[in-house]
Amino acid sequence: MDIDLSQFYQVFFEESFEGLDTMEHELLHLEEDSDRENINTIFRAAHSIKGGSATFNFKEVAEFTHVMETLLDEMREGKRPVEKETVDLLLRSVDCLRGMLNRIQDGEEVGDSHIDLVNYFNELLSNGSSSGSDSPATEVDDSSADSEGEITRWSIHFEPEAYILETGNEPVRMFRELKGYGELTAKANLDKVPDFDELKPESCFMSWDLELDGEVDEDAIKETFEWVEDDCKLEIKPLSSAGGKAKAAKVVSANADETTEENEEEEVQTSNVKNMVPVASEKPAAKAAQKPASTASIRVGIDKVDTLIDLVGELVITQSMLSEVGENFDISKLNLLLSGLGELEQKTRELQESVMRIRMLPIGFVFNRLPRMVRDLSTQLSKKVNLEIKGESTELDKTVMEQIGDPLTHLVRNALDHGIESVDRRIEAGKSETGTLILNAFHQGGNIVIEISDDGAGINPDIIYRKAVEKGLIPDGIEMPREQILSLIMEPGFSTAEVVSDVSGRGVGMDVVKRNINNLGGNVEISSELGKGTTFTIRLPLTLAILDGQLIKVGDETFVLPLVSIIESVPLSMAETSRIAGDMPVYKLHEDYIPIIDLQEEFEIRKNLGASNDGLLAIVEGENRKIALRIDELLGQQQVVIKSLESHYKSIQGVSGATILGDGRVSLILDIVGLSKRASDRTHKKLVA
Amino acid sequence: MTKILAVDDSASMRQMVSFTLKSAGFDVTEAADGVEALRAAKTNAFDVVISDVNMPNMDGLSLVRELRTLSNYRFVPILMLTTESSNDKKQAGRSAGATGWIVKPFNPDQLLSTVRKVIG
Amino acid sequence: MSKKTTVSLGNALDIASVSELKKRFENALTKDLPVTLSANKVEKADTAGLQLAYAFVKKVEANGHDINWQSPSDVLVQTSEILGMQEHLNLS
Repeated sequence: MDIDLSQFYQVFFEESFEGLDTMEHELLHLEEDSDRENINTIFRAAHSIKGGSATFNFKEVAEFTHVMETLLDEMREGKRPVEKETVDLLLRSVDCLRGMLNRIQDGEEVGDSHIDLVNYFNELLSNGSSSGSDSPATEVDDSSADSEGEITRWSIHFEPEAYILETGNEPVRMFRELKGYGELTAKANLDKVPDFDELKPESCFMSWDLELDGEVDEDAIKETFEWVEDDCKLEIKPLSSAGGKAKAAKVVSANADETTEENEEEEVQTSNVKNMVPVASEKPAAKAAQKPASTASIRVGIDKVDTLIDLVGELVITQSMLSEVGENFDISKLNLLLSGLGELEQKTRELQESVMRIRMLPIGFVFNRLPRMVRDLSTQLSKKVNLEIKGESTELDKTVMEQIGDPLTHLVRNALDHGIESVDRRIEAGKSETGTLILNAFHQGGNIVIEISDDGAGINPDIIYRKAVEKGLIPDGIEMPREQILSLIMEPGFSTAEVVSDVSGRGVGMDVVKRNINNLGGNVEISSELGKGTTFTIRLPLTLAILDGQLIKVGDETFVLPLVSIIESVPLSMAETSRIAGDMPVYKLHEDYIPIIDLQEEFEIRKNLGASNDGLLAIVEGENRKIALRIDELLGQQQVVIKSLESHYKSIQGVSGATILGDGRVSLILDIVGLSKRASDRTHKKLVA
Repeated sequence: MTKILAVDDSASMRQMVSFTLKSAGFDVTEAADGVEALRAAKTNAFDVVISDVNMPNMDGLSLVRELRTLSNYRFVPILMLTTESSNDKKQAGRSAGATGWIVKPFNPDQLLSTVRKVIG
Repeated sequence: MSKKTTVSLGNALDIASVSELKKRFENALTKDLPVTLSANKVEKADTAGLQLAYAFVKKVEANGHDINWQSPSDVLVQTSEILGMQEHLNLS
């Protein structure tokens, strides 16, 4: 049978990466809490990867995991203590395996990054303990050094233990297999079968003398009895061979002496009995034949799928109810129709939510890679840090999760590097010598909130303020609320190496963190108390696929604003507007002046000839920055499905995507942050010009 | 049609086993661990059970022992998928009541020939 | 026409059915008559089944009665041949 194994590669990679994550997670807890079950879990993960990689012909991975597994086995059996060095080695191996698998997945050479580690393992294993490391290829049994291929006639004595049939091993099957090698004559010995009344019918009291006439070697015969070799007496003797030299009897297991000396005439069998021993048909090492197609897949809990099926079922019922109503419709059925439509709407919404939930995964997937980093980094920085993780089962969209990993890692790294103080300084400050870093996630409204808090030194807003003035980010003397000052550290241009070393705060690449989070439609806030610690709060939409939108009208065009971004709307006629430097119109909101963007100008929409004072200002906010949008009309609110513009067109500042409205028209979804950047860029240009 | 229960916590192995057997015309049910397998076994009459040894929740050996206590599965062939070539591991499977084993790595042809061997 | 008793083996003479079959055989033995084994429907046969049949044949004969097969199925005959029991069971 020709089965293309490459179709299973993707699943193998996915489960292997998952297994490696599990290993890493357990390894990190191993030193503090090394019970058998932990080691077992790690062992099992390594074991699965070994089995899979061997089956799918990823030889290097199989060999590597084999030595790992041998070491783990010793740990599991208690023959090897759980020590930091061993755990470190295993952690490095996890990284190495990840790399190997990544390269294989990408169709690259595996490379030899693992060879040093393998050697190290072997060294450890040969010193460490007595249990030998049998290579996966070597079989224990090696009685076949002899080349007796020409023997054509065998005598086989088979005397199974009474319980043999109860293990599903059936002599009929074994004999039938032997018949595949040649002509088989069986003689049953029934002397030991008890009297009918005494017979336990499920036990076997028979034994057999078989003669096999065929060109087959002893190993093949033994293989037929492989599963029962410890549960029977088995003697295999050659009766004659083509070469004429009958070999001495070979006794396989404890045998009752019997001399079956049948001096058969020497027969030269020329019949070409096909050797049926299943031999591994060595398919060319599937060096990732081509780049294995990597379509991302997702694992979905069966309960989620069941919910969907239920909902679809209910939807079908509603639908058939409605079509019944519609068949002979008269006005008396109006209420029925309306309630049916209401039901339809509700079911559709539920269905939509459930479908979205399929893409949701617990944030633990991302959180789980952080303990390792915290361990490594705190060792490296000689700091003591206790990482607490909460809310790891909080779910969010898979795409959001994939993209939040890097920013999150960055924030944790910063908290360790710049937030939490060294042991000495903590003691000086009267704190416990071990710092605490808390990761927390929870749902709030349509958002997921992730908090990263440390109990470190905190950020001094005065220093930030001064640095920002120095860097020309803000004019000197400007009044700013504390939070806004803190968020300056995430401005591009704020963070340079020297600033970081100066400021006992943070800096490295914070602007990138902020940008990544903004790209996901989220935002970051910082709160910090000097001497007490700092908290970063990330707020992200649960999904990138659906948005609660406010439809607005500008000219003849309809746009969508994210509902969360809208603060209020004011009729233009009542709004207090003025112009400041650079000819930028501004709106006075409470004590602040915020820029006004006229969407009609912004998108060069045909003016419809209304009075210029008609319309509204929609005050919107993104990233702590408020702007006022001049629009003609607020339309309804609705959930919209976001379609990416980039895959069809290109990325445009101020537009985050598009959606299709109920009437089939396409509408652009506005991106507040982008719009306000566009506006300020233009003002800058004007100023320069 | 011969009904086979394929048990392995590794999805890729399970799919490989299942796909191979289905391609050969068997009726295959998959289970990801011993608990799932036992549940499936109680509501179906499988002619052959193929199970991995190392699995979470309930491992292969416990599964075999449990199956052998069910009257329908007292004599059904049960094959273990094992990477252990050492004798004591195999013997552990045998004394739990398994019929035989298939040593990993194996290819689809080896799997099929072994399965065909036990269904006779 | 002399009296005799017929035992039908049904479709399986295998390990899964030997306990049940043994009871039927015991029942037949209490009649103390010559036996006919009706085996035309046997689709499954194995070592345990044939071993039981053998013990039963011996028992009936020891009781001084004849026992014979009524149109044994191909499966039954082939299995007895593979196991080398054709003669013991008078199935040749």
